[in-house]
Amino acid sequence: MKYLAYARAEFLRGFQYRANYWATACGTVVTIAIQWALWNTVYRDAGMIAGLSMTTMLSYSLMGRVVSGLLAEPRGLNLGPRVRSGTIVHDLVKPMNLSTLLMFQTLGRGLYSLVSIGLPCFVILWAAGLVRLPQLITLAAFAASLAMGYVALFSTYFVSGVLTFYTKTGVRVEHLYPVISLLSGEFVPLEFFPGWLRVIADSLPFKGIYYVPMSLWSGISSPAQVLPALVSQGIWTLGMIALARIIWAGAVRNLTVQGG
Amino acid sequence: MHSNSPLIVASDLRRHFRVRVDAEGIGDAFKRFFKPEYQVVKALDGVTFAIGRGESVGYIGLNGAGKSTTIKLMCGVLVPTSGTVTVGGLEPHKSRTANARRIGLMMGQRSQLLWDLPVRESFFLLGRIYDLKADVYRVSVKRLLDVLDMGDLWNTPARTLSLGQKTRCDLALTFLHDPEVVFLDEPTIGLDVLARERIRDFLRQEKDRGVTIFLASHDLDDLEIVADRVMLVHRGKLLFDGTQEALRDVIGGRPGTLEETVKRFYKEADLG
Repeated sequence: MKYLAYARAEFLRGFQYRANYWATACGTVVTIAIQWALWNTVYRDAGMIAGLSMTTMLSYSLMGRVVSGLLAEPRGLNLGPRVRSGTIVHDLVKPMNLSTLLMFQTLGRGLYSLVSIGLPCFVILWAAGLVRLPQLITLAAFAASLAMGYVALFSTYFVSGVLTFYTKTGVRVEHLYPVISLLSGEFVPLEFFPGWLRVIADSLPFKGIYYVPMSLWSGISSPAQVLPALVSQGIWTLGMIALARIIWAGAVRNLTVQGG
Repeated sequence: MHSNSPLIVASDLRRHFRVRVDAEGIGDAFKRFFKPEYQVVKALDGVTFAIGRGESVGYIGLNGAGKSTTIKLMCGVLVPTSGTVTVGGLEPHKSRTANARRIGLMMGQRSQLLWDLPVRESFFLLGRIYDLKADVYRVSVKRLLDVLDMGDLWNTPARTLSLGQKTRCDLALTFLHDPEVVFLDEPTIGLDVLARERIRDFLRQEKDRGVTIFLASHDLDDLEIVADRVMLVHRGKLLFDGTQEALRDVIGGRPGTLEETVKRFYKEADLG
């Protein structure tokens, strides 16, 4: 798999930025502390909220922070600027597929963040008893769901990036990130939503990014319960890959690589 | 082998760009935001040529003459507005990845080195991308490290290299997969005399190995040494295509360097 070489290069690159590492690590620790304090306050006078115990809620929310570095990477794709400035030429004159290459690049960065920041955080949280390792089958479903969520998220940003230099407008999916974040269940599970919003979030594919894997991990739902969600997540993921390929094939014909 | 089966054939190749006309002042900018005006720039306007295997072609032209556009068309990064170009029988933009295995592209102004990592990582990456077998990769790397005398750069992070060192690394990367044809866009830009000489020597060696070389440069000394044949492009049209001697004959056969000859050519044709 030649594209792994790109993931490797990005992974190695991560080690070069020490200041960046400590800044990101501190940011993650602070966010985790805030989440912990927040839910402790919220649950002070209640045993269950929206049918979830505090233990479950903490597990859901803190595990989300552990993998957040991985899932944040596709947002930095910046495809439009890369085309406009012409740095993409070298990628285009190689025998490879651009979307796959970019996906492995962001994956390399995401895995670096997962291993260097997510993993230590996880070990601390696990030692503190705040997150627990689920059963193997749940873990497998969690990993599968996370992987699909990642690919689909990447494809969404890729399609959005391609459309940007197609239309030459500045509006990107990135600007809608707060909405996607909410609907994906990044900070609160969908159980917290009012009925109408739950219906919307349930029918949109974004819940596959955070909600499905985190609810599996924290035991809100069992692998059997989320099987339909996993299947629809898989279909969505394949659909997004296909869409990315089609849009890219169209765009590459009109591509104008700028600069002398 | 030269003219029997040309490697690159361009016929009536054109590439026009529709460019938005920039506004003058805020009022105008406001108007054009709603009703943009466009003009057509004919970057390449009907160019025909054939390049045989193993030929070394120097591509001359003023800034904006269409040099980079021609190279991008041959690399499949741009689609022709009309006309055709083929490299080894393939249309680059239609068979971009198949074409990519045969060609190498080096842009003097745009390094492809992995900025933060040691030079060896850039080589490792490209070796993988071109699916080079381990022994082929080793032999190719060894040869290039020797020829370009860059063994001591191997473990150095790219960002700490001087421009000359970076250029040598970029050249080596371009030749790593042993391409049939190499497109070089200003490979010696910003380099000192000795560094330039080194690169010319290298290109001549590669030419002798049978690699087809397409070299666009404003440094006409580069072309004089490397190119058997020169093509002169001006405002998207090919004004001259032939040997350096033939170019001298066109302007009356006066002796002189390629640079002097080209200057006279521009003066006599009243261009520029």
